[in-house]
Amino acid sequence: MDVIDKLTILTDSAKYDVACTSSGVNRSNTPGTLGNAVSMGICHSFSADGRCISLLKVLMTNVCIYDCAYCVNRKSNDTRRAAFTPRELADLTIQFYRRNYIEGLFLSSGIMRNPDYTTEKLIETLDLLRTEYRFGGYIHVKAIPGAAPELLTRLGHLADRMSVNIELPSQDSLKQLAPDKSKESILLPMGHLKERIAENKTDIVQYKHAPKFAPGGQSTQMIVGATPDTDYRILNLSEGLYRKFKLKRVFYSAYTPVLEHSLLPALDVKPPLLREHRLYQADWLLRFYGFEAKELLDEKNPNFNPLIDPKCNWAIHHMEQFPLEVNRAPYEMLLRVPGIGVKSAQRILKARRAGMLDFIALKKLGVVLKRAQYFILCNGRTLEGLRITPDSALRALVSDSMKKKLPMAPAVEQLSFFDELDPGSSLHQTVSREDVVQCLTGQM
Amino acid sequence: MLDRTDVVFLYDGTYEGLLTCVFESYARKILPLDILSESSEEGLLFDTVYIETEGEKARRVETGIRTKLGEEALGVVRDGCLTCHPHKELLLLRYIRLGFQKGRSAFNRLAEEPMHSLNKAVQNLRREAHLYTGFVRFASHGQVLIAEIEPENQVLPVIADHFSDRFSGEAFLIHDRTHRRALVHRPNEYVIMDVDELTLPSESPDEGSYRAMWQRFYETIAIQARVNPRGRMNHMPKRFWKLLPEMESARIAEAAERYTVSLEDKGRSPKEEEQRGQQEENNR
Repeated sequence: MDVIDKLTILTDSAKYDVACTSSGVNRSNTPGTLGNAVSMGICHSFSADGRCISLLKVLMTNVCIYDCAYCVNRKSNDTRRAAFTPRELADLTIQFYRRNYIEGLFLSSGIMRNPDYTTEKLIETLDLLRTEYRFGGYIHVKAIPGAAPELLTRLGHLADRMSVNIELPSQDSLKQLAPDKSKESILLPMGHLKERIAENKTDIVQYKHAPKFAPGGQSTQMIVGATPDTDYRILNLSEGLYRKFKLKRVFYSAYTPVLEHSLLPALDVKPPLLREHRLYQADWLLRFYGFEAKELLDEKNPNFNPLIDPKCNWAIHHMEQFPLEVNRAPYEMLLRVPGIGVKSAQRILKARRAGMLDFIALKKLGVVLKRAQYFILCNGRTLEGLRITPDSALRALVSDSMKKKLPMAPAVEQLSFFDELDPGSSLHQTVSREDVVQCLTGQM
Repeated sequence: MLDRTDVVFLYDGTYEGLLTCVFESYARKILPLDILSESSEEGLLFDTVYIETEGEKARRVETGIRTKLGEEALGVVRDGCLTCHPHKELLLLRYIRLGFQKGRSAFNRLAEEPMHSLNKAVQNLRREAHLYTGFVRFASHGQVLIAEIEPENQVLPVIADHFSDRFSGEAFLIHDRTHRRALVHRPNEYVIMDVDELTLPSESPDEGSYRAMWQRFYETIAIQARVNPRGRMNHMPKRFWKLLPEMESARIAEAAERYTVSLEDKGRSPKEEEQRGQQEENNR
């Protein structure tokens, strides 16, 4: 089989893996080697599905002894199988890297024979790249659950980031769909990695040249929409993973039906992309905006509102905390205003030191007034001319793509000289903030 | 007090040249109406003064900025010179004068001019430079790796350190077609020079097969059920496509679509057109 055929098969079976980030490590080039790593990460291209391509994302092999129901590479699936030799893969990585096609390698694998054997193959490839080809670019490698801890440790010394897939958001789902895996078998290597990473940090303080262990930390991913787990459960799980295992990222993957299975959504079901999007938005709120999972969802409202993003949703349920005086509000509260992000909040802090800010200034600082206007005051005033009507507020907070799903706005009334204006007609009514909230939260 | 404000400065378009203009603005007590690069053809209606670049004067201004206004401000000035803002020189002059007059805290007034426009222009340059750290595509031509780019801003000085660090052992060249300049790197040294014409040596024999593998990888990695042309375009605007080998088939598909549309405008179907082409060929 030609390398290009192998590449096709092994890319095709790796594409459902979500993570393609190359971030978290700053490493400049060592003379005599090829490559470096940039901590903000670099996207080299974007595929037709709009996802970033930064790493050569392939499997070592798509041969697998496991039979996970949701996976294209399950052993009972009748598909073409292939395997790279370590040298073929190392050569391909180097040649792609030299041409600046990629930032490095993302290597995962089906399970050949057993987890230890598979991990040894991964080690062999990375060792070839790092030692013989003197490759200094980014490497993300999957830790295979069930592999011996000392093998994982060796792998971690060769890679920049490691990940163990949590696969599904609950133990029940795992039991049903991935009978060969268990919560323990997944959390065990995750715990091992966490300890090695923490240990390594103190080693490096003590000995300057201690070999680095996965300096980009570890991440994980889970499939969303294949099982009945709620957003609340998923977000709580992520929060726990960030806290307990110090993960750098949790990735969510909208389940794309690839196989017929009685326990899975049918083949013609579209991947729940909006749900995935909402989870990422909430994930950002956990990591950069100081939110907790329990603030965003609860047992009574266990799923995100498809119409409004999680931050808007939180804000309209907490109108008692608004409006906020932009010129005085603390940073943590500014971050909670819809339409103000991390960058614009930082700019506000800097700019208001030099003078009072008005709405025009806010716009220049990058604040999205369309959303923020309902929640802020500048010098004690709301935006001039702002008419808060439930319809306009709702439209402003709902993302553009969801607008078409809203009922049509009431047609503008034609004014005529001859009509008697009834003092109670809609034209004279000003709607209170309360009305907006009621409308948005569905109490109206 | 400023004596004159109705003069246009002409300069050579370089960073040192601009700093010399700043020096002369103080020395001659002139706040110019505009500062134009000598290659531009505007401004001939006004009195013009050509400012000869002088390294010593530029160095004095640079030291002044560094000590009085800080490294960050110097970075803004340096990068400001590389942006494609049509009046970057005047913005920079006003920025520097404001800093010297009111102290560096004046730069916190982010929503006011010239900070707002200048910061936006610099941000735009840095964003484009960051995109190009990903979108540069080398092809192997014998011993040398060669890439071509068409940036709006002058990104070469911003990306030079990144690429010379990453490919420290390689000989490579990045040609900026827009500004007719090239970054030329040999192991452990690089220069950025003007390039009027560039004739490329022929590609290495295995180049085509690696490009084909990259194109295959690109096509295979996309999940069909999630195709999202708008998302792709937001992250990777069309102006970059021309020089990305993986976008070749998308470009061809688009060209074909435009062709079909233009035929439909003429009221012919592509099939008829094909037949017509055949007939013409037969007649010949």
